[in-house]
Amino acid sequence: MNRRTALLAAGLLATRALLPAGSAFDLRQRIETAAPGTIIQVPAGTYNGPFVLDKPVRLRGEPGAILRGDGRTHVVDVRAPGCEVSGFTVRRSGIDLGKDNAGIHIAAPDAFILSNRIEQCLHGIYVRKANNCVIRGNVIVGTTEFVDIPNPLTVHSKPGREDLCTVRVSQNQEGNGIHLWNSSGHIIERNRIEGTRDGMYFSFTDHTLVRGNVVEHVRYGLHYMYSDDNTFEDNRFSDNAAGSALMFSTGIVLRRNVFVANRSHRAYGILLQSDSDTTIVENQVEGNTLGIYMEYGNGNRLVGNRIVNNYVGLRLSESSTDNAILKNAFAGNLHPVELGGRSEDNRWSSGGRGNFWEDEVRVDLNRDGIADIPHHEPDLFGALRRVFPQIGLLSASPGERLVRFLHQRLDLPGIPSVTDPAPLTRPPP
Amino acid sequence: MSIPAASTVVAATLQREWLSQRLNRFFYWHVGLLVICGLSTLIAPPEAAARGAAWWILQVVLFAISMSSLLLGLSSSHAELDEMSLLQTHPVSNRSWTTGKALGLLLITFPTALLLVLPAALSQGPAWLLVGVAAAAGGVSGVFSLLGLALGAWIRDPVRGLISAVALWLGLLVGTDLLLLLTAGSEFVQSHPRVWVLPLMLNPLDAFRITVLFTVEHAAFTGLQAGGLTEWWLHHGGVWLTSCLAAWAILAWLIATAGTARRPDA
Repeated sequence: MNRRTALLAAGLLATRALLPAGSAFDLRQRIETAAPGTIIQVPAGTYNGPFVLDKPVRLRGEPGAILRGDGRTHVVDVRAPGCEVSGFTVRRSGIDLGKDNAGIHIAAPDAFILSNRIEQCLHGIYVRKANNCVIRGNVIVGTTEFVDIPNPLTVHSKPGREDLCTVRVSQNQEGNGIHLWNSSGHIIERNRIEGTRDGMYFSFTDHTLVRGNVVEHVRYGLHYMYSDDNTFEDNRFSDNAAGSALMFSTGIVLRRNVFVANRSHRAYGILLQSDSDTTIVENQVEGNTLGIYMEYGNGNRLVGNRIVNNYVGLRLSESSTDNAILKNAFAGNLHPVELGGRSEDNRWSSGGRGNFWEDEVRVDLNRDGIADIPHHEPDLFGALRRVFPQIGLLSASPGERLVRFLHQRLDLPGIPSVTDPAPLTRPPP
Repeated sequence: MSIPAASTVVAATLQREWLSQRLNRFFYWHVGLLVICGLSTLIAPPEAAARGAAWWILQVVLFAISMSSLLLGLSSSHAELDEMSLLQTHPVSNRSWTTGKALGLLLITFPTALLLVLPAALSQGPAWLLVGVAAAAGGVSGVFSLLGLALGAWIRDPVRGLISAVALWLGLLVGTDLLLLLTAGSEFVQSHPRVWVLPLMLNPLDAFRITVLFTVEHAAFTGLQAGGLTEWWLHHGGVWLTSCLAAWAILAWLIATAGTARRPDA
C-alpha cells in the first residue's frame, strides 16, 4: 500500500499536462511522447486504439471521451506500474478468448481503473499477474444470455485449462466483467457489472478487498477459485443464472453481501466447495434455488446470516465438518436444511445461542430469547432429491408439513436431521 | 300436465338454490371465512406485494376454503332431504335438477373467491398474478362444493355425511402426499416416475399447490429439469389445473346425478 501511495504522490507532483480539446488531439502520440507521471486530460471525442501504456501515465477522460479498440486486441493495455485510466467509455476489444482480449488489460502493478464504462468488449477488465490495483466505480456491460448452466460441481472439480488462462473456451464468446489471475492486493469497489459471462472471476488471486459492487444478469456473479484471504463486503449478486461459486480457497470473508434471486435449476446463492476457514457473516441469502451449499467445507463459520425464501436454505454435504452455523435466521425456505449424510460434526450453537427457525415451537419460559427445547430440523427428502428429483413436487405440501411438524416435536427415527440445542426465539437483529 | 324443458328446470333449480343458500349457515361461514382470509393477506406475508399474498392464499385455500366449500356443497345436498320424496314425483329429470344445483353452487363459490384477493389488490394495486390465483382458488372452491354435493347425494345421513366429508378432505389434503412420500424410495417408482407423479397431478389440491408454487410464484426448484411428465406439468401448470378442475367438476356432477337418482329411502 505504501508503494501505491508513493506512486500516487509522485503522479500528483509530476508535470500536469492539461491538453486542449480539439480534433487535432492525437491520444496515441500524446501517450508515446508523455514523460512518466504525466496526467493526460483527454477531451470528449472518439479515439481509435489500441492504446499501450508502457510508462506510468494517467489518462483522464472528460465526459464524452471514448476509447475505441481495433476489434483485434485489448483496447487499453497497461504494461507499466502506476498507470491510471479513468472517466472513459471503452469499446470494441478483440473477441479472442485464447488471447484474453479485454477492454482494459492490466499486466503491471498499481494500476488505477476508475469510473469507466466498458462495453462491447470480451473481458471488461483483465488483471494478469499484476498486484495492488484499484478498480473503482466502473460500469461493465456485456450482452450475454445464458440458456444452459453447467454444474460447477462437475465442470470445475479440478483446475481446468481455462483457469490457467491459456485456452479458448467454446461455450460462448463472452468474457468476464472483472477477471483477476495470479495476483494480489487489489481494491475492487463500487463497480457495476451486468450481462457478461461471469461477473467477477478470481483465480489464484489473494488479499483483495471487494466492496460495494453490484453484479446482475450474468452466469456466475462471483466465480472464485484457488484464491485465499480475500474479503467481500456489501456487494450485491442478484438475478444471476448460477449464483456465486467459491471453490478451493481458504480464509475468505463474506460480510453483509446480498445474494438474491439466483433461481435457475442449478443456481446457488453461495456455493462453497473445498473451502476452509471461510467467514460468512450477516449476509442476506434470499430467493435462490439453493441458498448456501457447502461441500468439503471445513472450519467455516456462518454467523448472523438471513437465509430466507430459498428453495433449499442450506445444503450440507457429509464431507463438510467442523463448521459453525449460528445466529442465522432461517425463514420462508421451502426446505431449510438439506443434508448429504451425517452432520453431527458441525456445530449449530455456541455460547448457548443457536439459530432462528421460523417453524419451531417457541417455548421460552424464562424469556431469555433461547427456546427451552432443542429444535430438530428434518431433511425429509434427503438424498432422494438427487436420484428422484420429482420428490421436490411434494415441497410445501400439507403431507410434508405434517411429517415435519411431527418430527420437530418427536424427533422421529430414520429421518436425517440436524439438532439445534439452543434455538433463538426471535431472528437476530 | 306438460313436462317442462330441461332449461326451465335448471333455471328454476338455480333460483331455488340461491334462495336456499340465503338461509344456509354454511354459506355465511364460507363467505365470512373468505373475507377474513382475504383481509389477513394484508398482514400475514412478510414479503410485500402479490407474491406474498399468493403464498398466503395458497395456504388458506388448502387448509380452510377447500373444507368450507365441501361442507357448503354437502349442506346444499342435504337441504332438500325432507322434500326429496315430493321432488321426485315431479316430471323432471334428476340430471336437470342436479345441474341446476351444481350451477348454483358454482355461481356462489367461484365469484366469491375474489374476496380472497380483493383486499390485497386494493392495497397493492391490481396484479394479473392475483387474478390468476383468485381464479384458481375459485376453481378449487367450486370443485369441492360439487364434491360435497355428490357426497350428500350418496350419504344422506347428516352425521355420516359430515364424517365422510372430513375423511375425503383429509385424504385429498394429506393422504396422497403421505402415500407418495412413503413410496418415493421404491425402485419401481424411481424407474417409473410417471406412476408416482400422476396421482399428484390428479389431486386437485396438489395441482393447485404446484401451480401456485412453481408456476405462479416461480419458486426455484432443483427438479425443474426432471424431464418427462414433471417438466411438462411445471411448464403447463395453468392448463393442467384448468383441465384437472374441469374433469373433477364433471365427475362430481355425474356422481351427484347418479346419487340423486336413487330412491329417497335407499
